[in-house]
Amino acid sequence: MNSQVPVSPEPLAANGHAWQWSGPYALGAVREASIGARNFLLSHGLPEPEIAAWELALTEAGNNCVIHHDGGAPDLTWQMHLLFAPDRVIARIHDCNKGFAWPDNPQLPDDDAESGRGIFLIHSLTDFRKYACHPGGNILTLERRHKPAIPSEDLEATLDAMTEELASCYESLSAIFRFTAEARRTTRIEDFATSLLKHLSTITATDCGILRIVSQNQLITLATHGCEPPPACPMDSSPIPLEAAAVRSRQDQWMDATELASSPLSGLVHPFYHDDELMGLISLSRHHSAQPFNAGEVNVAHTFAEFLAQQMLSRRHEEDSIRSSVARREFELAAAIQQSLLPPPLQKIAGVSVTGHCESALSIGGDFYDLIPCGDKGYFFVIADVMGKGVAASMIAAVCRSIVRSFSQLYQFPARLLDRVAMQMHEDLERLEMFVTIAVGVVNVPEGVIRVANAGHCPVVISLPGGGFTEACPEQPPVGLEKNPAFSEYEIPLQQGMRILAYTDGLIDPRNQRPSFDTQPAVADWFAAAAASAPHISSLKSTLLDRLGHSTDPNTLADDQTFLLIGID
Amino acid sequence: MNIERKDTTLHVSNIHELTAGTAPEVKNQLRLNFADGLIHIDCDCSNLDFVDSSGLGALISMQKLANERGGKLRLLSLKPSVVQVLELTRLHRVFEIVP
Repeated sequence: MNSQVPVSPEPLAANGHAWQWSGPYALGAVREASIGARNFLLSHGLPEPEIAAWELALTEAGNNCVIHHDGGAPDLTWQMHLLFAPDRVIARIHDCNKGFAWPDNPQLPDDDAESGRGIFLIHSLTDFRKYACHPGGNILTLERRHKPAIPSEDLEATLDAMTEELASCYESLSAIFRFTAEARRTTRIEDFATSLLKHLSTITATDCGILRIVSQNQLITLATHGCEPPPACPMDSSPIPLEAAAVRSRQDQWMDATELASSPLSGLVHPFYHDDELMGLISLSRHHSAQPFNAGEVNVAHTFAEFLAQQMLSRRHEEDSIRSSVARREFELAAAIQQSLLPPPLQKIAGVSVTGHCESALSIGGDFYDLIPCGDKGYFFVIADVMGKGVAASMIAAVCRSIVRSFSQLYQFPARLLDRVAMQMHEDLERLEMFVTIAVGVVNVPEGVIRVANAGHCPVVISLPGGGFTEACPEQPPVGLEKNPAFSEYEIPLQQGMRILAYTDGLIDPRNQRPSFDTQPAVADWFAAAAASAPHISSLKSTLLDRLGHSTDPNTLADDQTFLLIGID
Repeated sequence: MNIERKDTTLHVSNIHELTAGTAPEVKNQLRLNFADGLIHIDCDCSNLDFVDSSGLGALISMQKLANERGGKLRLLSLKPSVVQVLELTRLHRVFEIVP
């Protein structure tokens, strides 16, 4: 568009509808000129949108004059002339720069470019442009026709349009309130999402909407409006290019007019997040119109997506809460079962007194003890610790107790009983990768003997009446590690005044926030001394609980604490 | 222009014009005030009456500043005339606009 032009612009008008300005090559002067132009156009009654368009176009034109100025005499000036004609405004900007090639079809630069939009704006805001370049100076002529005045008969239509726009805003707001109430009523998130998408499509005048959410790293379709639901796909490899780009870039992706008849003319794919987690994508498109989405429509889409994300989180929280409640109930039941494993109040057998204590670190654990009267001869006793805690450990404990009880004919032969228990439980324990440490024994008063077998459990301590103690230590590994172990048996003659302590390793766990014992020998030493001074096992139990800092707060216990006391009276 | 720090967000407000004449100083002030620990920028545009292409460049520069730290720029309370310029240049697709 370059051509030879006079160095000075031609007078635009001599009838009082013209305005001109002249000033230095300084950016501050550009705004002085464009504000002056604004005031001139305002004085001629031009509508505000027209004035705003001129103000921006003239600012951009002025910026070009100043930015491309290459120095020279300090008193050089550039000029702006405006003519207010009945049907248009004509502007001429004159500078004395070297000039540049004015693009015929300026394009927008990349989104992250910090410059390069000025000439695009001038083109967008004016109807006619001519840039005349000459060695002595340049003249940029711009024209913009006035928008036709609104005929009085169209005022009603304009009012209707404005009302419609206001109604659209109101609709957006009221939709949010409506959805809030609806979200409380709707049980399925899919139904809620379908309703939301339908409203969003109406408000944004789109004919196709797709709402996808992320579930277990898959993009699944939650709702559609006006189109077929796309199939589920991995989150990071959607076959829909714009979806894939939105996930990759974490930014909105846009569809602009294409030549393909089946493609949308305009559209938007918006990924929505909670913190850093991708929650889903909303895709909206228009097949009937190439009208691009304006900022208001984009905002509505973003707001709806955010609202949906909050609802999804709320549902997720609700589901977690239900799951947690169910789990808590299951734990309570399992804890009740574990407590039921402990022996009921026992019949008194002459010459022997028994007591026990079992406290779980969690609401359920893997420790248990058992005491079974053997007629009036004495007691068969069991103390065991299943590896691990929780429901699984509790279930294995129950199974172990039942199996031990099923071999009642072997109560007098603890080692043979353990052989059978180990054989029966090995397969299950091996599959579950668990094991059980267990000590079993029998106190037979008529025979005057104690027999003990120990499978990997803490030593059973037997205090002697004259002082000192003896121990039934673990000679074989825990149950579950070997298929056919052969357990050995301790046989100790009964003496009046003997005290027997069987305990689990919770008594020596350093993680307990209570005064535990340091080692197994420390337990034995303490027990021998305490047993000598305790008149009865009930007082010995109280002394031991005091030593362990027994409390009602289970949080201070890192491991189950279980013990069993038997006294030979 | 007012600049204020709130937690990890730099709040910028009271900008009346973003033009080729004012944009360099705005960008400079932001760089100076975007101290360690700041991640996001909230630009209150309720007083912003006029923006030209250089002003748009300043907004993109702010966005890059925040993005470099994993944060984002939000444009708050934009006037319709400024929204029109963003729409004209399609930058309404790029910025997070909060009405």
